Amino acid sequence: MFQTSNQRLGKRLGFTLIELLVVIAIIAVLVGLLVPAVQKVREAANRMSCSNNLKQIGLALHNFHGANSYFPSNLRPAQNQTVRMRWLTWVLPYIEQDNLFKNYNQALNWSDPANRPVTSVRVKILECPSSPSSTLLDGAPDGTPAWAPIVANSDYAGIYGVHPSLATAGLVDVAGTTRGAISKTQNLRMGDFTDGTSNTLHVTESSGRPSIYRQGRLVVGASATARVNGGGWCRPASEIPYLLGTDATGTSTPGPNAINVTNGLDYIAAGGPASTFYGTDGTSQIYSFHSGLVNAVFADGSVRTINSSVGIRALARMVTRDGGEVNND
Amino acid sequence: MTKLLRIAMAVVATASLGQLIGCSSGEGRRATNLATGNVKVQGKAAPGATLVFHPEKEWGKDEPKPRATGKQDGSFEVTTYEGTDGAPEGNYTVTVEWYVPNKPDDGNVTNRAPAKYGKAQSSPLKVTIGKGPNSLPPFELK
Repeated sequence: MFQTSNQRLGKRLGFTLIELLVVIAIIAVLVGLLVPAVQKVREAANRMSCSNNLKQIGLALHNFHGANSYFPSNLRPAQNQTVRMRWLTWVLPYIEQDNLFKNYNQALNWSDPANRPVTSVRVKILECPSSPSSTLLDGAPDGTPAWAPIVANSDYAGIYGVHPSLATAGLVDVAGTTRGAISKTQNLRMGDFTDGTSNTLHVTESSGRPSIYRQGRLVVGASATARVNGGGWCRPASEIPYLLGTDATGTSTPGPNAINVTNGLDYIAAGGPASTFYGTDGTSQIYSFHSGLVNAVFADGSVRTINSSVGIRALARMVTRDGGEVNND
Repeated sequence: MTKLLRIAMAVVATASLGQLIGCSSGEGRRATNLATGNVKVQGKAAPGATLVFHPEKEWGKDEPKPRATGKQDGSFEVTTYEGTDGAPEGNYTVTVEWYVPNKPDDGNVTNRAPAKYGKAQSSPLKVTIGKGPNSLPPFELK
């Protein structure tokens, strides 16, 4: 009797193989549950960080308006009527990058070697943390050589207007290439936003440029032959030239799909610098790496998310600042 | 026995419901036929010209109409939903607009195609899309 109970106790001192396997299996299941959750939390945090970036940009635009009574635009600077200066360069002092702004020579182009020590600097709040941003630099199609990598990228862009072909196709109510909240033809004042600042999209995302992404997949890593014209934070061509939309695959324009289908069209395939459609403007489209939405700052300074399923008609109402449409979304 | 039958019925009902929901998300796309063509304005190829195919019988308000954009040589492939899928069968009035920046770097654009081609009411371009690949007659705008 005693011996048998001792033997039993002796047996209990180790784990059996089955017991070990069960424990390992439980741990595996727990890890399997936890890892995707951690990934989701990371993405949620990145998205919040991105909307904070846009909030800072929105505040900077309003602080600029407060000091100058107009919003910065992509006009030609007073010192040189052959170059353009992007609005993001103008708001540098309002996002605590005053030193960059002071070193930027407005009489020279952004691509000028004298400006490159400024324009090649990556600015953290101009990059969305969800974007697979690399150390890849952006360049100009007419540089030597073409697309020579010289300037740092940004994932944020404004929109000049809505392409008139969308109105002909019946996909939007009101079109106009200069109706957007960011302009290259005039310095906009608050009074120019007759649709109401809270109804007008000011700056949104066009992530991952100058590489071409379609529906989350890298299609073409930026190369000399195929890429989005746009990306560099100092480049006026990084603006989205028109709300244009694409087909469901993001390969042809115009079309009814405008959000998160592609981050831009292949500039060279569209004719390159000699293109009669884009001219020297960019080929970017609205795009983010957040699932199912893009962040946007509106002209009243509020940051909102726009669902990918929002139709191009409702989106065009947000893009135009003086379209006179009723926006119920 | 009755209990088993009930469970089986519940399973079948759930499965068929799923099927129904799955069917309703088919987006109501029309069947399309490949279509290609060429567009010229005053004898010159019109790269970047945008063409819209307005169906004879009105479609839904937000249904995308078949569209195309001229390439460098003026050739185009029609798109309705994705890629170069073409257009559904039927008769269409085609509008052509060719928006070109006033200067290469300008925010304003001008339509270089004659104005009558820009409206479905006045465009003389009529085409019929049939089954199979369609090769449209060349559009020569004057």
